[in-house]
Amino acid sequence: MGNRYKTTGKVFRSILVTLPMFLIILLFTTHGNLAFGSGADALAWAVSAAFFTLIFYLMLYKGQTDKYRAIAFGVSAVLFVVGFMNNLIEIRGSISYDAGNIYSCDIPFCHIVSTMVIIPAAVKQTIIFGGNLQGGFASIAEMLVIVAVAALLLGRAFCSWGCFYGGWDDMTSRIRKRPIIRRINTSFKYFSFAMLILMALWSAESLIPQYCNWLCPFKAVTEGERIVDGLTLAKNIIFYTLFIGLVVVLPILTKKRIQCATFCPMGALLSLFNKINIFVVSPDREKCTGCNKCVAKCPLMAMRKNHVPSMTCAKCGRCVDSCPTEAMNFRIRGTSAKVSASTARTIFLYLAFSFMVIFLGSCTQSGLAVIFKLIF
Amino acid sequence: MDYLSALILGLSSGLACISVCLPGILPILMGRRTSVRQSAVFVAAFLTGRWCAYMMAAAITSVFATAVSDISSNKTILTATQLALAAIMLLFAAGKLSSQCVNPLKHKRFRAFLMRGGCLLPVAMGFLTSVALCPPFVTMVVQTAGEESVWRAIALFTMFFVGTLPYFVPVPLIGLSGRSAATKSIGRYAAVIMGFVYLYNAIKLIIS
Repeated sequence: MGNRYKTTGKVFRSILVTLPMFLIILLFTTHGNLAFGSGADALAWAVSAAFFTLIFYLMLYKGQTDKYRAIAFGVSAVLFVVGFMNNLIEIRGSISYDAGNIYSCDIPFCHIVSTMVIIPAAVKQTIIFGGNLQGGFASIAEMLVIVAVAALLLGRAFCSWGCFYGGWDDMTSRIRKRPIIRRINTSFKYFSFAMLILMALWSAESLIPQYCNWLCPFKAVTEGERIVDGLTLAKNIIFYTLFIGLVVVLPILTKKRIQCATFCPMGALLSLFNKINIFVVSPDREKCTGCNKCVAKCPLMAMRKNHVPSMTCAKCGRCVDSCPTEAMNFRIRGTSAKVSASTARTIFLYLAFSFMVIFLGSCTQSGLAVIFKLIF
Repeated sequence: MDYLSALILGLSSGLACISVCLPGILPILMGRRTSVRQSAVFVAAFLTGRWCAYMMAAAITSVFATAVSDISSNKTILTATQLALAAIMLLFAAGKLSSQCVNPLKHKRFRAFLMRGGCLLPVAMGFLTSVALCPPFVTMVVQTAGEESVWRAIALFTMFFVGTLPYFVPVPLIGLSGRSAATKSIGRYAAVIMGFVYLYNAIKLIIS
């Protein structure tokens, strides 16, 4: 594995660097309270804490970012769905919603809706979403704060380290070893920017979050509108078609995260924050041989032909791990390639992984608790 | 209704106006390789189309008191305008409509025929958007229904139109996004999305 980073291949050093993250994991998975409701909850906590600690340790020891990040990301995405659906069944008795649930502000707020509520909130002082403003499960205020913090601290890295939907097409894009569709027009990634602009405008004009109303593929694995007439049937057909197409089939065929790269308006919004984010991925020109592996491997089609990632880079680390000459690295913006890549990477991992633990850790824990309660 | 009230109505409802018009203008402005100046010309042509729709409404309202509100709620006309807007958007996205304001069609014979038409595309879009979608437009119709003087009705609508203008002033700044390939791609994709939105509106009208 070489000695790419200061912790690579060094057990003691990796454990030492993992320890603070272990404390962060303990703090944010217990919220300072070790009194669990049941044995299943306690076991779920123990397993998820151990899982995240192990993942972080392996990232440091093995010197590979993307492989272990993807494991945590994918597992969290699946367990999020388990926990989320269970929560909905407990709260309202069903995973599907209808107009009554919207009027009674019973809908959990998802971060993608942020792109549609900003303009009406700013201009018309109206929250166009039928959810709890404060308190309860996934309240609007809580999620907006999380999104704002994520945008400022991580930029688009949220799409690889925080989004509980991103793990789905990250997983499916790894199923095949080689892509079947090799040539993809990289301008398709700009479709997500068009989605951002028009969903924001259309939602502001109609006072309905139209992406949620018509186009969210993840309705297929979270909550969908109850089928009561032809219109709701059409909507559900669209949701499931988009999920199967953009999240399952196309990522398998192309080995790209098609939904995230080309469709998600949240990803487009976060890309704008990449311009001011402190962390970047950039090549050391002296080491770069122009093999273009980074261009081929990038799951979001963010890598330009000059091997500098565009603003749609989600800092997943795949280009960093796959670079044969170790030219590609995480860096702190404004520093040269000569400044320690190991230090920059470690600082970035601390930030990004902490966010993953805070945001996805509870989802993982909840999902595990549901499974353990079913088993035991 | 007096002229000041019409102006204030325009100023107060201009936000609704721009929220309806902007999704139609934005894709085309972004999808063209254009400057701020060229965008301003496009927007001016769009506003001309809007003003023509308002003048038509003013003239009809004063002559036939309830006719225009009937036109606004007339499904056939609304559906036709939505389909026309959808066609414009999808043709633009497919590259069948020229990015030049002056030559709206690439086809030689059509281009020659329409050369005298000038900025046909934005004028048509302004006209169709106002007839089909504009809630403030309907508000003015109600306020001026039965107005005795045609000229007074036209003047009221013009004051209302002037009131909505400030909201369109920043729109040409979209031209600052320059001539990048990325902006052009975003504009074309946005045109596809809006084309389907207009199509959905048309289908909804047909079914309801």
